[in-house]
Amino acid sequence: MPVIALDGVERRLVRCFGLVFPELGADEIPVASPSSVGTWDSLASINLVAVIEEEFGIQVELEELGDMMSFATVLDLLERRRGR
Amino acid sequence: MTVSEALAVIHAARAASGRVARYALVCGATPVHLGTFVAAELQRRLADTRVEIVNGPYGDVLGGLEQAARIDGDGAVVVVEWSDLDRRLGLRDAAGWRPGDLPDVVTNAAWACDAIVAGVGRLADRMPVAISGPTLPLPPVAFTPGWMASTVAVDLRRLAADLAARHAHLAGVRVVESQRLDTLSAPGTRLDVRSWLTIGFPYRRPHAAILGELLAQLLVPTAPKKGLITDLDDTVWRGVLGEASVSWDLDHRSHAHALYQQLLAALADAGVLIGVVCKADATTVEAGLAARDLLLPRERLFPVEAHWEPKSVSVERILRAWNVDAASVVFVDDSPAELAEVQSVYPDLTALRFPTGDDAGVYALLEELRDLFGKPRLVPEDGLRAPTTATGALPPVASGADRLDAFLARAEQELTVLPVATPGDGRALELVNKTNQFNLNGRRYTDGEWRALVERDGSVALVLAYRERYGPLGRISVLAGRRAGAHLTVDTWVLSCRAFSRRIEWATLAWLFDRWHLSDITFAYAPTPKNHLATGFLQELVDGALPAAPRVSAAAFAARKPALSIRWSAAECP
Repeated sequence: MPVIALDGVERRLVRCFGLVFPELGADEIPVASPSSVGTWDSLASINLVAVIEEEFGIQVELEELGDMMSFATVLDLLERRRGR
Repeated sequence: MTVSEALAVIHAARAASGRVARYALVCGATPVHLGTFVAAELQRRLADTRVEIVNGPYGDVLGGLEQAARIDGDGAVVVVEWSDLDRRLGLRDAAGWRPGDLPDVVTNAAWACDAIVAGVGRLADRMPVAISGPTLPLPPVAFTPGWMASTVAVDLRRLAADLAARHAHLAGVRVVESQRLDTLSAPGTRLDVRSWLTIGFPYRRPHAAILGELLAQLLVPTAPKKGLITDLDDTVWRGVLGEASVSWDLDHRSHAHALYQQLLAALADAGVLIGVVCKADATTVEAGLAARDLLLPRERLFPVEAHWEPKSVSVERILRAWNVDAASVVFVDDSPAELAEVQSVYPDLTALRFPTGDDAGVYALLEELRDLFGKPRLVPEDGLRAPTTATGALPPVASGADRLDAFLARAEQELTVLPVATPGDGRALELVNKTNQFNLNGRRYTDGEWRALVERDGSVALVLAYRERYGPLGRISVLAGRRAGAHLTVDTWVLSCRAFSRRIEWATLAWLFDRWHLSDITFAYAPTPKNHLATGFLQELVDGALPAAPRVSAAAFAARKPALSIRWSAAECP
């Protein structure tokens, strides 16, 4: 199994996903999306936003919620936030 | 607690192999984080149990109450907000804030309050209920400026206060104290408009976390402490006995000590044991305690340890006299050195410094003591505890069978068997969940588990009340099990530490064998770090090492039973 290199933000985001989707294995989280995770419903999305806000000390804006539809898009959002 | 921490608690418990405890959550809003926090806080308090939350329908508190009453639950959390009294008091509807609408808002809210009280009452017949009244600010419905109380706001708050009062008087219902909630969660920081409008959840997360914690604490409260050991000098009064005059009044700026005395007297009346340690000679101390204006009656203090030995020695004697373990006791002293000395010997004891000269600090101490000793209700036994021990009529603990025989022969012992009543009688469950030393297996029960145990087929569930010539001890023992023909299995058996050394445990089994003509009794025994008295009794019964499920036959019991002089009150036997 390939080893995925994780920088600090990714590692923290994996932890966030692990809290909201504890049934996912470490290799499943980086490819997680509502279509691949059966428990990713509206409550899970709300919990994911809360956990990410707490972990990264940010407030997710309404217009950003649409960017939180997969691990990859959330990571991209955080990277953009970090670049600001 | 954060959402991350709450989810971690919940997920960690998924592997728990114990039973599932089911709690209903009834609220008009989308529960999201409130449900997470309530689940996590209940989970933290219920080790070896997996908590499951059953949510009610969105936007329908009354429907949620009805639905909750139909589930097989361990308890229910009910959260009422203004918008549950009238939709116009929420932000998700825009149904009218015109002046002409306001009288109807109040009328509608009054009707909703009546309906909620009725629904909560029906729910409380089935399971314990923890409830909070409106916690959010009223929206700007009234025509008055925000700094002026409108009649509609005043009327609505009166309804909310009345709602809380009616709930507080219902058996099985516990209400969140709004004063504590206000302290922990500032009213102006609770509302999250964006979240309410976007996802239907009206609370900021810190407010939801605190509300969840308080509601869970109501359903699964911390066991109250049993005894308080207090110093006297610069604690019960200002000054040092024998060195200068002592005081506790406004004139001498020592009124904080009067407040402390007042609280100790109130705790004693509520069943808390109050002992005294003081490094002084006994004559001086008794003279000080005889002061006519002392707010703490001398007869409420037992024992009083007055000498020059280390205070840990005094504490040891008091714990032995009370038959209470250190973890159930609070020690109050003004000296950090004395607190440290006692705590070094008894690390499980709660040691609190009395901050002499710091009035605000003393007030904070009084509040802390209330929390440590607070209990949801008082039972008649609470009023009996202190005077009974103060009579000095404690049986000899380890001074030989002959002395015990002599003591019991004079004691005029009488036991009364009462059936366990559910719901409504919290004393039986309180005894089971508080008793450590004579506890068959240390098993604790939620209200729901206890009800299931008592109400199952073949159940035997008894409460024993005891009195002797020195006074009544009240309900001091609970036994629950299953009977099949001439065989009884005891699943739970506790005996209050106040009633030790009276052979009540022997008398109980004698009554059971006789009452149901039993051939044998099996005990669901399990050792715990504290149940050495139950262990010792069972070892006496089976005459040696304990097997996994100790069993004693009628013949073996009769052969080992000591002399008993206990009379049974037959009239109330089930």
